[in-house]
Amino acid sequence: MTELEHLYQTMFSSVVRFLYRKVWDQDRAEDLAQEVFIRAMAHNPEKPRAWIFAVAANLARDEARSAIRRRKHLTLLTNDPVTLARPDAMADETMEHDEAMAQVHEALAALSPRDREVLLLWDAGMSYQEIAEQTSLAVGAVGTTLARARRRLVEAHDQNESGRHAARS
Amino acid sequence: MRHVPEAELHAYLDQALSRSQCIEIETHLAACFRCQQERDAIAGLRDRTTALLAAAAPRHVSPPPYAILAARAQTRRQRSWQRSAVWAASIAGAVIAGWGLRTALDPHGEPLPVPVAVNAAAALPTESPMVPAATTDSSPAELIFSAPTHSGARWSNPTVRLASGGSLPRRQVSLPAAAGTEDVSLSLDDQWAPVSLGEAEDATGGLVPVVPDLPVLDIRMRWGDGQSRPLLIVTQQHSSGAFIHIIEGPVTEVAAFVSDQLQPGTEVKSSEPGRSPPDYREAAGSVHRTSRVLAVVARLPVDSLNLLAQEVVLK
Repeated sequence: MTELEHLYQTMFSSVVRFLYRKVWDQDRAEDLAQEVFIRAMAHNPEKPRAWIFAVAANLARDEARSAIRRRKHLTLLTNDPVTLARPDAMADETMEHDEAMAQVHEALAALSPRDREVLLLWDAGMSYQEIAEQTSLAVGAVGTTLARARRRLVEAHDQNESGRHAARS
Repeated sequence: MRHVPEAELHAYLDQALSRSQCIEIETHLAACFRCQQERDAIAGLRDRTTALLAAAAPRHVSPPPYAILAARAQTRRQRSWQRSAVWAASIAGAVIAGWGLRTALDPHGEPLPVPVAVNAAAALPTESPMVPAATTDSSPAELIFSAPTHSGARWSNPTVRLASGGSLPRRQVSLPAAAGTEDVSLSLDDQWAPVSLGEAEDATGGLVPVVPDLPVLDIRMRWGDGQSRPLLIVTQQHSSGAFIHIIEGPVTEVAAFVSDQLQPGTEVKSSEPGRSPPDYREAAGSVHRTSRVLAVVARLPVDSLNLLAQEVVLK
């Protein structure tokens, strides 16, 4: 088994998870993750782990730009504002779970792009060193960024939740 | 007493510190109640973050077998290589064309040797096309020979000289135009004359486009200005039963003909055009070059037509 094949077996789910929290569509996230590994096979990078997440981030960014263009186009066509993409409906899951995912989505959207990137890379299992290389941060700054990102994620989530409770009552 | 900064406690809990840094922090924590509380708060925050992100995870992910992705990567590499080869051949063709034309137009220049054989398919020469001297076509499927000069017996040489130095007689195949194959998907006017394969070879100097191993049902020919090779339509039957039409001729005429056929409401589709050997003709002491292309037209998906177009050889 090659190193890349081993990484594919162990990292594919992490890459999908990383991409999913950027595109919020599981099928699309899996397609993009496959594209990442196909490109890795073609390039045979020296540091495949870091390379894979760097390419995944770029693909997700391109995907976001395309989505914005599509939304603008749709808006022009329909003359109606088109809402942001939401997490796909999970028919087999409970409404609570669906709502919980939407809340995390909103909380993540409240972070700055860099804080969000660092948090998602950490959650995908990357080390501080790898995160620093990918985001051009100093290794010492990763902890600071991560501390801020965690705090803001939880604060944004709690604020949204309390806002919903207030609206219901 | 210096307390442990928040970021360091995050790094400590994330196991991102060196062993010596960990020992230093643990020593401090053992004696500092405030930092212990801070550590516990950060540990709670960390767990909370992990739980929140876990709630926003995709459902079960099942990666496709690695072999499937490897095959796709291989296919992509091959396509990339083919594109590069076509580009390289095009550039080489343009360079050689300029060189050949300059030689032809320079009466004081030393005659230069005729280019010989850039040949991806030289191992299969019996179906090879005749290409005139100074021909610079870059079609990767095409053979380039040190053929007779473009003046005089340009198309009349009965033999084909091979890159290996030998020669073979041009194959004469008499294939009458198939009756009952008026087909199908093309609308043709009276200018298109049915011809046999032998007649088509004579009129084109042996450059009749066909997909090997598929039966030829019909060949139609339309003369242009009389100095260029005629426009050709070769109708073959695909293994699926579908009729395919290979149109070969000068770029503008092929483009006009294909666009006429691709009218809305029809199911006819066309491949992307591929280059075929150009025409050279002398006029007023200079040599004019006319680019030619071929396209495959049928009621098939465009991807299939593009693949078929790559298989076309000129025989």
